Amino acid sequence: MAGKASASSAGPLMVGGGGEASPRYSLPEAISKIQMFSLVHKMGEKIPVEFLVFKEKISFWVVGFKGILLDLVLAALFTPFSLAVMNHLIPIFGTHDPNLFDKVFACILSGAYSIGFNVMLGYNLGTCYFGRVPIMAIRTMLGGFLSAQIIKLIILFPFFHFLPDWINPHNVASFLEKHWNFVRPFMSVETAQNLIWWLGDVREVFIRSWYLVFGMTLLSFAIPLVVFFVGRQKARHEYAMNVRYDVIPDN
Amino acid sequence: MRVMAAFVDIERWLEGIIEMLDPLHYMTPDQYDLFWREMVGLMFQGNIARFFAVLSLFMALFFGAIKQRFGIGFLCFGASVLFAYLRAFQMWFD
Repeated sequence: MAGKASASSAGPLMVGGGGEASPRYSLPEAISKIQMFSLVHKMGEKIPVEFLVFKEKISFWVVGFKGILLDLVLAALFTPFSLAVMNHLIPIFGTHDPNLFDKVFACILSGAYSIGFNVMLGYNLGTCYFGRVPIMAIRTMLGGFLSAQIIKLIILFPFFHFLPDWINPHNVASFLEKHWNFVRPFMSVETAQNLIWWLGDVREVFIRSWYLVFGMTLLSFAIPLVVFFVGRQKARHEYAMNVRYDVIPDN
Repeated sequence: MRVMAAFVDIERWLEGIIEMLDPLHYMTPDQYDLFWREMVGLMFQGNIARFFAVLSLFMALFFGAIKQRFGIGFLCFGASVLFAYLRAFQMWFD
């Protein structure tokens, strides 16, 4: 990091990375990069907007996109679980009769990855939402993140809406009958009958699951927006104090 | 001869330890099965399971989101899922 004197005499400050052949950041690298951009801004140096070249923007977008892809799998798996818990179809903590705590926990567990990812972004980048280049980088990353969330919702919509038709008792029974030689070591006839009835009951939670995923997605996306808004106010205040007391030059 | 006898003693001692490691040596298969069922029932059911599930989820968010130790975060998340739902799978197979 260049200081005040060297920056004024040694030309424009380069954070580095812009000239790499093909920057492919991992999530920690991308966050560190944005933190460096932000620190340079907070030190009173101006990074030109053109510094964030196209391939770097793509890299930030890809980081945001890939970060949330795992949420697709976890949401598809755990959201029906949580709704099945609420409908007394699956036991949680060994009980078929969950109390309010159990229901809330099942709900949080279904969105834990998404919430955790956003808390992580907010915690690390909250006070970095200051200066044109850091804001642009963060917005690009959030763009990838938002795109992945929308794709997740688009993929899960037909999945959760058609799945109840696919697993109707007739289809499940014919499937088990067709593959009975393979299934027989794992379940008895009685268990298979129970499975058919149970799946018949579970069908009702799938459509509602999509709406729960939708709600959790909106909730999780609100976390970084709130944190960035608060962080930006803090960073502005810090910058104003630094300018007032001549810690950094007023550009 | 004394050295050979000592080696034989050590070998017997090791065999004894290895036999002790096998729980089926001092309990029947049914008792062993019951032991693990009770253990799962104790750890993955009721308030103990609730406590460990919340603790694991809290640790998952702390390590994954705040400390950026994603591996530990995922492990804690998996532990939280196990504490919540493992008993359900056991009940299914019962």
